[in-house]
Amino acid sequence: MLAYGAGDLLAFETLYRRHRGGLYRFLLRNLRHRADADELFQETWSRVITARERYRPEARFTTWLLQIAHNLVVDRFRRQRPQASEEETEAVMRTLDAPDGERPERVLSEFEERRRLQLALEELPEEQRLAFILRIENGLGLEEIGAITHVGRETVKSRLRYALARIRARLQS
Amino acid sequence: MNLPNDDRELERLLHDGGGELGTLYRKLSRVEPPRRLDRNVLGEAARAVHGRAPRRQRWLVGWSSAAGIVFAAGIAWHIGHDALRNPTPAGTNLDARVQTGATYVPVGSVHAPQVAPAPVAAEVEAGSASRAAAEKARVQPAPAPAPVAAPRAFPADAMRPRAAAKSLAAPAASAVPAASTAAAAPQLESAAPAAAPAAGSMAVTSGSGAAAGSGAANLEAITATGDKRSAPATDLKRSAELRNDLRLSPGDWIRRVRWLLAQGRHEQAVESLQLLRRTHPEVELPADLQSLP
Repeated sequence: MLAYGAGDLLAFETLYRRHRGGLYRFLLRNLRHRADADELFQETWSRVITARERYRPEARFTTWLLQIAHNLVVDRFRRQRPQASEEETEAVMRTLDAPDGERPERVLSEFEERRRLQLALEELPEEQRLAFILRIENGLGLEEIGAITHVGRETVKSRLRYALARIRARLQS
Repeated sequence: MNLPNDDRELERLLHDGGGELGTLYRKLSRVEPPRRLDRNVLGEAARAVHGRAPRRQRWLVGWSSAAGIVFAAGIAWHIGHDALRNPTPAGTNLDARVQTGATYVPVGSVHAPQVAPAPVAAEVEAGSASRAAAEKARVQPAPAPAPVAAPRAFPADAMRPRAAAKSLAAPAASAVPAASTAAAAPQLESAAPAAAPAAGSMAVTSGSGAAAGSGAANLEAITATGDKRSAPATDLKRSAELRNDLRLSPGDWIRRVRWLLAQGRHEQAVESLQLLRRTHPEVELPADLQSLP
């Protein structure tokens, strides 16, 4: 990024090839609409290009890139629909507390598992989905996820726990 | 809140490659951004670095500008070239001619046919001496301004004059007595010796090298003004008629020569025939006219 800031276009192309897939999937998994993902993908890179001379290597480029994308996604969420309230979240969590013995044991095909995982991701609350995708798609640690989402480490852990529980529940339903 | 196995699953998610969930997630389709987004982003990055349009577009702009300049220069050159060949319009010639009294237009100046675009070749042939003489004749007033006689109208079947020439010539046909024109002829000869057709002078007394039609039109206009200054009216009339002959088709011109011969105007017939030979060298003259000089 520093090289591109100095005018090296080849450096940008290398950077872009390396991060384009991860960024796009992060956007698509969270926004769930390809048109929205396309728009914010381009907007994210536009902001990177605009900020090329101000970039300082205080964090990994991946973290910086995903932070820009995250902010755009959150803005989009705020404009599109309200976030789930705490009551709604608690109600969902209570349904996940059923004992293991009450859940039907099924052997799911691999296809069915993938489909359910997809549905589970879509049904996650936005904050949990953001944290989960940043971890499982982009490989970020707790600190990096916290830096991107502007929350502390424990909050990130909490969101990931909730996300795992909901996904597991969806897979076993 | 009671989340079963939450810490163990979280540890697997964070440190064990995502555990079983990570394995399952990696089996989901790995969607890639479409190519158009790649083009857009890389193009924007390139524009940001270079700070201007892509090279191809700049080349097109430069090429278009150069083409426009060449086109404009071509038009300017063409206009300038035309102005050089015709420095003054016919109306200006007329005014200058009337003011200076230069009323006589020699037949020799209309060597080229009227349909020729411009007598550039005639100017070249005339040489610098002739041009100087012509300039002098144009600038200096004629020593003996003569009354202008309108040329007599030709028979309708023998020529195809322009409608304007007809309308100008007809009413003035009998305006000048024959005696006065006969007396004025020697004055004209002495005033402008270089203008005689026999001299073969290519000097263009119009001063512009304009086409024969332009000179004829000037002369017609002069005669139409009714200038009564003394002039060799007969020669002037003959000159005008010869100029009108230039407008005739070869067939009509031959009939015109025969008509002149029948009228007893042998000299003018010979002069017209010589002009015909020069103007239409491709025309084979009939036997009765080939014997003429």
